[in-house]
Amino acid sequence: MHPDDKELLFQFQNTATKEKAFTAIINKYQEKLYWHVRRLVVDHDDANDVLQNVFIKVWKGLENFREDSQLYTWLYRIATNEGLTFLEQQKKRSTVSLSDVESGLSNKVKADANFDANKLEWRLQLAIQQLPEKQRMVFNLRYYDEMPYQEMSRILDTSEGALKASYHHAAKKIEEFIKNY
Amino acid sequence: MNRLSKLVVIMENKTDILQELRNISPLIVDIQSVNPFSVPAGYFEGLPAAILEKIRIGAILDNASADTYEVPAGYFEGLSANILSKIKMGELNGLAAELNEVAPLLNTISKSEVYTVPAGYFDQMDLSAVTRKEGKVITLRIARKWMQYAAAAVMAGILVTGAFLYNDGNSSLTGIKADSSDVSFEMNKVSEAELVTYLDNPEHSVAVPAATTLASEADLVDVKNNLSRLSDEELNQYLKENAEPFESAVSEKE
Repeated sequence: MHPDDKELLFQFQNTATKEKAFTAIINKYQEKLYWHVRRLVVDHDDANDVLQNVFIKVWKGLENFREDSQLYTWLYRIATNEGLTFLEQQKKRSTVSLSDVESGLSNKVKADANFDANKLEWRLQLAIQQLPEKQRMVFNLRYYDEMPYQEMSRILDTSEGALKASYHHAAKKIEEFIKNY
Repeated sequence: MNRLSKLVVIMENKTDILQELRNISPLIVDIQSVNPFSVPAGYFEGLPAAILEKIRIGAILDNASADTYEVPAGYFEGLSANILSKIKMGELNGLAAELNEVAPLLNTISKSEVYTVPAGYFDQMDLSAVTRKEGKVITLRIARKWMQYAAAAVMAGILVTGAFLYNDGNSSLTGIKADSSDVSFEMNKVSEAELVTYLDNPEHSVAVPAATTLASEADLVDVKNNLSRLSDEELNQYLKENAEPFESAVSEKE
């Protein structure tokens, strides 16, 4: 059982218990944040790099964290920004268009050791990679993380209505892709 | 909110999400919500330690780059002056070293000026007082005009000469073809007495050279006597030797 966020934040303010509290925060949220990032960047090594940067930023910024927002929401926000920044850098480095990056992500899915095109869950992953970044993010947070729109709105700085519309469009596109695959 | 009520909220949320998705796409709902991706074994167990290690190394590097070295007080204020003086010293040392190789003796002699200038010479020197003499400016337009005139004159000369030469060979003012051989032929017909009479007539003494006009009457009588003694062949010979270019051309034609 993980300790309460408030307790962890209190321990983090104390020099003697700072590292212990931080380790507990990583243990509590690492898997959720890892999968959030992994679904975005697909490759494990990329996800690992992004996640480590996320927690390093958390270490530097946690002292100034305002407790009026949830730690969980704040961590997701950092992870989302880091993931998007990583994709942006990849785009610049390869000097290719967005569609090329998306097809690159599809190729990464196909390159996974466990990839099986006959299994629906893998086709679903391929379908998700066809989506624009924002729709992909919304679909993943809703479908896999089962996140309420209210929370998602705080993380992505988007209105609940717009998020609902994005999710609707994303689900329809995915259905269309799977049907035609 | 106790654990049970939290669980209820989560379940309600999950039901809502499923219902929402069923309304949009029943096909996706039927797909098992399993995560097809995997992570290396023991990845999550080792992650907190790996991140803390990275943070420690980062902190060490941050501190190392922050304030390891110190700069003496006022270092940057005097830096440019120090560099300039070193450059000047280097230049001077270079000149001295060069001279040491070529003629070391010269390095031992003082470089102070031995010549003097009148007192206040440089102070009184007023360069603005020196009047500048401007050269004559010949515009291109004038030069071009002269060239036009010269070209026109040359062309006119060519045309006139051409016309003259052309007409000379073909013109027939009196209907008889003019030829220099005719002149000689006609001249041969004229007797010596007639020639003397002709020459004696003052009306025909035109185009006499200036040197001849200065000759006295006695000289002229002598010339007449001499001429009367000359044969035709001698006269022709004389004319040949002293003929004008045009006359020589005529005689050559003969």
